[in-house]
Amino acid sequence: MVDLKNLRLPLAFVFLLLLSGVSSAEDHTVLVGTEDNPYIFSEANLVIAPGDNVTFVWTPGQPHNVAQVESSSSNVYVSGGDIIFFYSGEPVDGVEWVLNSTYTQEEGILYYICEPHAGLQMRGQIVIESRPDMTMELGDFPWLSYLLVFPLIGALWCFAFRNSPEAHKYIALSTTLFTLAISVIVFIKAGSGNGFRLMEEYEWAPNLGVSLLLGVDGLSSPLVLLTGIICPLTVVFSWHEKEKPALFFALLLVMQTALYGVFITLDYFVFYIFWEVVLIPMFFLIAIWGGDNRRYASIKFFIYTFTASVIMLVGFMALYFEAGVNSFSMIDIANNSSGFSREFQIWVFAALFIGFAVKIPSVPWHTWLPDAHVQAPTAGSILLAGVMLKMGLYGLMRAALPPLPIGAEFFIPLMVALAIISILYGAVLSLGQTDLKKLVAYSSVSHMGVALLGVATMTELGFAGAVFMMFAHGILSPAMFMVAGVLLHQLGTREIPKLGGIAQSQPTTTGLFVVIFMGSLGVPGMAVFVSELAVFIAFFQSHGYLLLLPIFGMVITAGYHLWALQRAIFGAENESVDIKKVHEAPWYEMYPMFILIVIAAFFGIFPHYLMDPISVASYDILDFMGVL
Amino acid sequence: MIDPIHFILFSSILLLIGAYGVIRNKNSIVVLMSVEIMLTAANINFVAFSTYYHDLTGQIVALFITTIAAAEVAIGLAILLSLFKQRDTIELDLLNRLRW
Amino acid sequence: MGETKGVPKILLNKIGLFLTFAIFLLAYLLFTSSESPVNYSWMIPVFPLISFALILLFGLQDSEKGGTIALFGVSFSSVFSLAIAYDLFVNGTASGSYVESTRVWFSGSTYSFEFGTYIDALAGLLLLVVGVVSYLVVLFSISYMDDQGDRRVRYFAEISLFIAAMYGLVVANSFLLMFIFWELMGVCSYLLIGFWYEKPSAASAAKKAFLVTRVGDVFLLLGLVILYNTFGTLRYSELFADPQILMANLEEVKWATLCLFGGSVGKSAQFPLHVWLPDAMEGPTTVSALIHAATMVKAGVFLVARAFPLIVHSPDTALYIAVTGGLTALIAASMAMVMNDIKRVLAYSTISQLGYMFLGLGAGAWAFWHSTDSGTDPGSSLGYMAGLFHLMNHAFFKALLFLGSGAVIHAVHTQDMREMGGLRKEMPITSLTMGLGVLSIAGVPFFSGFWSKDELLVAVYYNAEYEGIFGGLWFMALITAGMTAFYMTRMWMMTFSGPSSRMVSSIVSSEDHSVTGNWVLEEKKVHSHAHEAPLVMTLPLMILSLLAVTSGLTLVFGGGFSSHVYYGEPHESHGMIQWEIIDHILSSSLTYLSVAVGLTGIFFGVIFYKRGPDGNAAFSTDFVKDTWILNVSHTFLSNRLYMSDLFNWFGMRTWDTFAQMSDWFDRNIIDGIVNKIASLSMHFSNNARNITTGFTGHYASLTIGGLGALVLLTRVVMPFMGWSI
Repeated sequence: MVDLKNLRLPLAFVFLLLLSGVSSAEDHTVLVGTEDNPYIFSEANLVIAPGDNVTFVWTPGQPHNVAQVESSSSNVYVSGGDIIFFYSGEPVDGVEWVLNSTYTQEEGILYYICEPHAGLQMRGQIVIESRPDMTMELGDFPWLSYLLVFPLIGALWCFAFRNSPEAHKYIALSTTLFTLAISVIVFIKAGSGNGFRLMEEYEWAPNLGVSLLLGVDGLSSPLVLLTGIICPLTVVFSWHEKEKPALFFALLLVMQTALYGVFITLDYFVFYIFWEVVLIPMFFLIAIWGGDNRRYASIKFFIYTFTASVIMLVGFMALYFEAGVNSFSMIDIANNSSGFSREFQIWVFAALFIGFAVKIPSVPWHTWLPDAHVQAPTAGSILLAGVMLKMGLYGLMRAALPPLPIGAEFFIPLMVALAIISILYGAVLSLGQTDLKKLVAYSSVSHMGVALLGVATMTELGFAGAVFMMFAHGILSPAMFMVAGVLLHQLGTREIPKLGGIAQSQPTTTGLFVVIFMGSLGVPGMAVFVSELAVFIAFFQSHGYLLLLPIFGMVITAGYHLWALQRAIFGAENESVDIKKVHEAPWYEMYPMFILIVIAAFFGIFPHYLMDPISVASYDILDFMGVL
Repeated sequence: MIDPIHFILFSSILLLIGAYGVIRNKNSIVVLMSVEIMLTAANINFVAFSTYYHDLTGQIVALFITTIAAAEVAIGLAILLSLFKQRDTIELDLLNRLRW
Repeated sequence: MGETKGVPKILLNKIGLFLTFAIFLLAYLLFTSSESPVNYSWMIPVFPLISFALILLFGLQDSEKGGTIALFGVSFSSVFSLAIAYDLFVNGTASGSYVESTRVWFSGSTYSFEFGTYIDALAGLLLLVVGVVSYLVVLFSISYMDDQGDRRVRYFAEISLFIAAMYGLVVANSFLLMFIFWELMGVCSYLLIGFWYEKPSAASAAKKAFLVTRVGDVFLLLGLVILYNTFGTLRYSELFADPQILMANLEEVKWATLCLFGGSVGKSAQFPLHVWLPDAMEGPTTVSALIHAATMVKAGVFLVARAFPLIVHSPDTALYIAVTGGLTALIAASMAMVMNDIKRVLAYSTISQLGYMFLGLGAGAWAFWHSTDSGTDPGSSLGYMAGLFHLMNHAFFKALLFLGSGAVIHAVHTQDMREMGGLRKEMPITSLTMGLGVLSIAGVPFFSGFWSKDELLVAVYYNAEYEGIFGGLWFMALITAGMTAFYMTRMWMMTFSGPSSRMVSSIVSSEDHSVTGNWVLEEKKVHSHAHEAPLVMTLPLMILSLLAVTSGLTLVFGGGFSSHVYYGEPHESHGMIQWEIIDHILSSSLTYLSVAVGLTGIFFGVIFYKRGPDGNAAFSTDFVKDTWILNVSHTFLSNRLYMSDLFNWFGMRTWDTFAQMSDWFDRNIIDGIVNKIASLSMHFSNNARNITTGFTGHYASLTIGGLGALVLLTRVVMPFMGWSI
């Protein structure tokens, strides 16, 4: 048996090496002197994107060189000074010279001449500009690839150390912390400009037009950040997982990769692949570490969402064939979507909507969620509610809306109706639950209904509110599940009628509980409020007094949150509670909750850090759709 | 020349006879023989058309078929022998373990 | 309780120290930059917020478990707000206009939200009120809560957070920012009402408070949404700038202001959302004093006053506000007459007085609209001024009454007035100060309540000639004044008058009740073991009673209240004493009428409730039980018009049933469809697998049959049907 232990490190390095410097920028060629006319550059006026490579190729014959000059009329190359102009060397015959890509990073115009023949007007220029629509900015460090690959490597390591009692925890933690750092860097680098940033493209199947096209914009960078935040907290919360811990953490890490993949890929084919891959670790998480009815819940979850995804795949295929550009890239298809007929758009949007609506989850396709949540282990619920649910709405905004504006417009009434029903129905159902986890699951339905409402308004503020809600809910819902997890851990039950009066024995933890519940119900100062405000204002803009229905949901929301809080935590001690078992939550349960509260409060008080990129991206999407 | 239709008819009848044999017989060896009959029918078809179009390709294919038929029967009989050693029977009615 | 009577020296030193620090900081800031303190108004909410954080971190190390830190924070903010009030009213900064500073909160290409401060006379008034009351309450609670141990950390933290939120609401420059602090105050109120969370009644009362105010908040949010969508902004300065734009959107203004008032109805406990306030008395009494008497419930009045430029364009809203206020005042006063819990009497009294304020504001807005509509110059809005004047006075004397009742409760350990009596001898300072408060609220001439109630009644009466309903409202207000005087006197008499020990007879179940079902008459001697509260508690009482007595005089002394706080035109101030106002009041017959009504109420309160030597009143109230109609109305009122029960039934039972039904629907119908589809496919598969029989012959026939079918299909059917591959 090969001792794999010794190979792990080298393997990891090999992986990393493969990734470095593979970011692809386009290559351009300029002929120095042609066969017809030896005193011109072809092409003399070259338009490239920032970061591309330019190669000068001599035609054998006359000696030339390439020297950068200040302006289109100057004939002299000046060396030295503040800015060093590029210079290929003394005039020689028949060589090749590659322009150093540092010159092509920034937008602008580079003028160059051939020194001995400048008087003969042998000059040219390289124009560096971003493409006007769906701008791309190619970076030279593959941040996004790291996001994808690192958790996978971590998963392999984790699994490799499965027989060691402690190592896998630390590996998982360090991997997730590292990817958190990368996500924060990605979020900051993405900034709040127009278009996609940090793009990378690796060709997979040129015949089909499939390539691993990665990029983030204001819509996906908050979600990347969210995934980065949630995963380490999940690892910490499951610190003392007893059963098959190595496999558990490995699955968490694979899940992280798949989630990142969904959020950063801009190619329909690859998007579908990652979309489906997300289901696999989740299935195993529920099926192995879940509650009593886990088989039913995991299979139901898998098949339900899978079926909807297949319908979505048909939609993707339709888009591919109809756009006719032989490319699965979302950018290309969207750019060629103006010719889609109304019939086509409506049908395809319907197909895509089904796929995304099940994931959102929108009533009436939400019933997989309560079972999945109740039966899943706490870490699974955190990932499911925190990040996985966002895939649905994200997919709607990224994959369905830009190429299909007419189809979307046709379905607005349906989306509004479904959103309002989700909000109210979800809230009412939460009110009737006795299992705390199921209550939180239905509250997720309600909150995502608010987000869907924001999307249905087709306004910048509405979109921004929807994406912000995705982030806010992704912070606070895991916190609520952690609360349920703490209770389950201490008392072995999540049934609210069986709890009560435990506040007295754990005051600090109760304080955290109260803040989390308050934040989730929409108290200003936490992130959920900002998003609800934005969505409601936008909804009034588009649909007037229909706002009365969802806004009334706020009361029901407050109702069930406070009811749960009062019955489960405050009040007199319940007889069925074994009060000796109640104690302050241990560090690995308290710190994640505390960190989530801090993040929610931070973005609740300073929403502009998120709202700026989100707003710009929303405006761009709407502008592209032609709605604004 | 003889009108190809006769050859076609003849080979069709042979095919059907062979097919009937494959479907209905209980004895596996008879089934193998019926498969041979079906192959022969195909052979006749090929040769007939080869003659009609004056193209040798058909007859070459017929040779191929014959060879392959022989190989296939050999393998089939080998399988049957092995099966007989295990089950003491080659009656198809009794060999139905490969089911739901 | 063997505490010392005096204030511990350390505490006095600390108080002095903080105040000195605060004053020095203020002086430093002012002298080095020679600006008005108004520019530092953003610091006011920040101080209590910092002390909140500090208390959470270091509270346990404090000797008062967070009290000194809280006092620290609130001293700073009080000094700053008093300085600003001084600057505004005495120096006349921003008179007639406002000072604003703003920055962007978050924005996009099509929208923008800002936050900042907005200081004008109204804000200055509230700053004055909150500054004084919050400081005194925190001071009081250091001693009041001294038996709570480590829990005080939580109390002081929550109180500091609340004070920060209240200040934030006052200095906010937009409806949005006000809404944010509004909700935060609701959260703090929830936490403080449910302070003793192990009591189920407290936890339940907190939840009720939050939910009922949440209903109001939803309306408020709706109002904000309408305003934002109509005018594109929520900042006061932009909304109020151009009356022409308001005139062009009257319909939206009407709905928006109605919704805004909906928020006030919730927060200020007006009918029908008043049910939470009496239950909120489950919290500590200092909480009731601060939140539910002097500050948070005033936020609703503040909102209406802030939105006044909008409301004057919407007479329907103004009328609705006035009617709600008047009705609430009457209903609440009637319920206060029958309550036996001292805090509940004060709670209903608060609701009633808030009704007065809304009545005044509504009448003032309506009058203003009516004048502009009919072409006359509206001048100064009397109702506006009266409502806000009453706000200031009420804050002082209600806080006084609540704190006083807190001192009483702290001393006798009961809240039921039937078990009190004769405390006048043992708690002289408390009884004197509370007596002054009672006189103020009853409207006895020259105490503060007299001036403000009088102005209110005049404002309402003035409208009666144009719109008959105001006449009815005026009448209701008059009756309410009488009832107020009555129940307040009743309260004071039951608590303080009479001998210090007396026999109380009550009917209790006998020892063998479970067997015989008998009830026996038990006589027990009730002796009040009270002694006067320590100085830390009586000092605030004394200061507040001084304010309660004199704040009314600001109407006529100095420049006059109405020349500083006004809507429309300021009142011309003539020297140090506004004789014409005094003249006007004393010469009006309305004044004498209302005074007469008030004195009648006091009279009845005395004769029915002043305890004689035997502990009972001169005249017995048994006639109430004997007269059928009085008995029924008494029961009705004691059960709070059964509104709570109605709410419980409607709120809990209906929704609970609805929720259960929805749960059943979701599990069996929607999920049932999903499971049915799954089981159908299982069923289908189970049957379909029978095709694979295992017989080679069957398989062969399927193959050959399939081939034949294909041939048929392509060669026969498809040409026949005209399809092509």
